[in-house]
Amino acid sequence: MSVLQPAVVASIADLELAARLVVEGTRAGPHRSPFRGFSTEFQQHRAYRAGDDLRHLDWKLLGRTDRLYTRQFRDTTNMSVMLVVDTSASMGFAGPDGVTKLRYASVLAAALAYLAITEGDAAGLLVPKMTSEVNYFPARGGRAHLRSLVARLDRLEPAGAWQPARVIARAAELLKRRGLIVVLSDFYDDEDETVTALKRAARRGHDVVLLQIMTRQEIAFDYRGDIEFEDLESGARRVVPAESMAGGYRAAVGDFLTRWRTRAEQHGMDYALVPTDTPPSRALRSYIVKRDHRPRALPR
Amino acid sequence: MTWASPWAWWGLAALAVPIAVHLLTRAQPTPLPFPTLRFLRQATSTAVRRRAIKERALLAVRLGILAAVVAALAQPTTNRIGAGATAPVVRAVVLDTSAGAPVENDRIARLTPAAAESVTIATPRLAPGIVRAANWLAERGGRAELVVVSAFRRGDLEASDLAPADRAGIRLLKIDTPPVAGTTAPPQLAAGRLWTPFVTADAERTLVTWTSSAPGSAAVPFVRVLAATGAQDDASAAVKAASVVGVPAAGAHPIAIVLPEAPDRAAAMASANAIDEPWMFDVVNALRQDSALNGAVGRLATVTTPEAKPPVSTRLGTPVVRDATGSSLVDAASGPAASGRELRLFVGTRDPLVISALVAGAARAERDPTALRRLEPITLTADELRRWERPIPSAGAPATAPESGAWQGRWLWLAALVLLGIETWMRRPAPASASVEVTHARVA
Repeated sequence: MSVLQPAVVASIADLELAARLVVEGTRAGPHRSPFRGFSTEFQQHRAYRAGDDLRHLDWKLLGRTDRLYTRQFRDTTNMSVMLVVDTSASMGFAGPDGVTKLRYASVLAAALAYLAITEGDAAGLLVPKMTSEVNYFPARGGRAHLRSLVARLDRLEPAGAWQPARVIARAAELLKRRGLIVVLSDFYDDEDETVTALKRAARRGHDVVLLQIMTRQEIAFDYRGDIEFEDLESGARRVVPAESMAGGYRAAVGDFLTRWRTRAEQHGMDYALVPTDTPPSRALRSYIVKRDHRPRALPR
Repeated sequence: MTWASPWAWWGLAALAVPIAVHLLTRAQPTPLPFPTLRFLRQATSTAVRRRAIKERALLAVRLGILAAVVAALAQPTTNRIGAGATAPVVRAVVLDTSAGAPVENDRIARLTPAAAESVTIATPRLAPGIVRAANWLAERGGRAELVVVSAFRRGDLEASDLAPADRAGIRLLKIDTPPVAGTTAPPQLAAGRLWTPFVTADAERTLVTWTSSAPGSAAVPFVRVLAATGAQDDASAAVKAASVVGVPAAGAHPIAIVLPEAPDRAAAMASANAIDEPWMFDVVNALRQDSALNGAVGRLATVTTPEAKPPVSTRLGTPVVRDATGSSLVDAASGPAASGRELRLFVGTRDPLVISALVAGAARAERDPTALRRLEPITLTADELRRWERPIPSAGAPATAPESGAWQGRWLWLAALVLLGIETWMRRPAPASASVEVTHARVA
C-alpha cells in the first residue's frame, strides 16, 4: 500500500486525483462500504435513539434483555452522505509541512465523496458562508456531480468564523431521508451549541460522524521562547512564554479533545481525531476499518 | 575585613550585563498566527507569573555569581581568629616620615578601620618607632594591632624589627612615594676644605659627585664647645678630629658641648631646662647607641686613672652616657640659643677621646638619616610584606602567622561555583510534558 504523505497529497492540484489516490490507498484489502443504511442485510446492533424507526427495533432482544436496540443493515440502496466542512479562519492554520487544516479536510472530504459515489451512493456538500448562510451542494451520485463537488471543495478558502450549530442543523434538514452527516472541523467554536445541533441531527435518524482536524502543533505545543500569538479568527494577540506554559496548554487541549470524544460516544456518534501529519489514506482506511469492525455482539 | 585588591570592585560594573540582557531579551516576541487563544488564556496567567518569578530568581543568582567572583578577586582577608576576635582593637600606627611625601591623615584613617584606642608615631626610622609602638601596645593590653605605613624601601624594615610587637597583629601598608633624583649627603672635611657629596642612584648604580668649598672655609658651625681657657686647644683638636668623619649638612640644630671648668658652665647650667624637642631626644638616643662614644667611655674606665670628675648637672639633665660606676658622664639639657633652642651636653671628663667621640657622635646624630634612604629605588615586594603580616590575635592569645590571607576568597569562589550550579539547574529545559496521545483511530 502506498501511503502518500499529507504534503504530497495536498500539493496535487487536481483534488479529484488526490481523492482517488487517497481512496485507492485504502483499498488494500476487502472492506465494505463504511456507509451503513437500513436494508435487508443485517450488519449490527446499536443503542436505540429517539427517532429510530420502530420497525427496526429488535423486539426479541428487548424481550431477552429488557433493553432497546436498533438493528442496522448494510445499505444496498443509495445512501446520502452530507459533508459539512468548517471553513472558518482557524482552519487556515498550517502545520510545519505547510498543509492547512482546511486543505487537509478538503482532501479527506473529496476522498469520502469519491468513495461514496464510486460505491453508488450520493454525496453532498455544505460549507458556511461569510453571512451566516450556507453554500449547499445537494447530495447526488454520478461522476459529473463528483467533479463539481470536488471543484467546489478545491475552491474553499478559510475566512472568518462559522456557526457550526446552524450549519449542522441545516445539513440535517436538507438531507431528505436518513443519511450520513460527516463534519470536518476543529470544533473550536460554540462547543455546547454544536453538540446540541449534532444530537438533534442524530435524533432525526441521521448517522453522524465527527472528524476533528488538528495540526500536531495545536496538540503538542512544542514552541520555544516568547511568542506573540494572534488569534486567526478574532485577531486578538497575546504574548506568552511558550515553554513555561506548554504544560498548562497541553492539559487544556487534552481536556478539550477528551470532552469531544466522550460526548460523541455518549450520543452514538462516530468520532475520530485526525492530525494533519497523518497520511489521508491511512486516516481514511483506519476510519473505515473501525466502522467495518464495529462489535456485532450485543452490547451490555 | 580588608581587601588586598580593592580595585577589583570595579568589576561590579559587570553586574549591568545580566540586567541589560534580562531587559533586552524581554522585548520583541515572535509573532505567530494561531487557530485559537482559548487554551492559551487558560494557561497563561499562572505560567507568566511563574516565569516572572523564575526569571527574577535567575537574575538574582547571576548577579550573585558575578558579585562573588568580584569579591573573590578583591582578595578579602580577615583578622578574626578565635573567640576573642570581637574584643576592641588597640592600634598603633608607625608612620615613616622618611617617605619623602606627606601621608594624609584621612588616607591613614581610610586604610585603618576604627579602633578603641590608637596612636600615631611619626618617625624617620621604623625600628625605634616600632619599639615605641610595641611598648605602647603592651601597656594597653587587649587585642593589639601594629600598622606600619611606609614606602618600604629596601633596608627600611627587617623581619627582626617586628619582633618587639610579637603579641600584636601586624599590617604593613605600602604607600607610593615620588622618585628622588638625587640628594646632598653630609659634607666632609679633607685637605682643609669642606667637601659636599651629591648622590644619585638607580636600580643599577649609585653616583656620587663631590663639590669642595673654598680653602679655609671649613667649619663646624653647629657645634659650640665651651671649654676652660687652658683646654681650648684640646677642644679645637677634638672638633677638628670629629669633622674628619663628617659634619652635618647646613640647617642642623645647634648643639653646645660644655666641658668641665668652662667659664660659662655655671651660666649655661643655670639657664638650662630639660630637653623638650623631638630632635633633642633623637640626638640623645643616637648618642646612647653611638659605638664610638661608648667605646671611648669604656676605655676611660679601664686605662685611665679615675680623676676627680667635676659635678655634672643632674637637676634637669638627661643622662646620655654613664661610666663604669654608673654615674652619669654626659648630661643633656636644652637652653636658649641665638635662634631657637640648643641642645647642651654637659660633660664630666676632660678626656679628649671622649670629647672627640661626643662631637663626632653629635655630628652623626644630626645628619639627616633619611636623605640617602630616599634614593633607594628598590622597595619590598607585596609578597614579602604579606609574609610578615599577621592577623589581630584574640584577646590574650599570642599572634600567629596567618596561613593565608585568602581563605575567605576561597569561600567566595566556592559560593560562586555553587551559584553557578544553581543557575545551570534553573536554566534546565522544562521537562517535556506527557504528550497528549491522540490518534486518528479513536473512533467510537
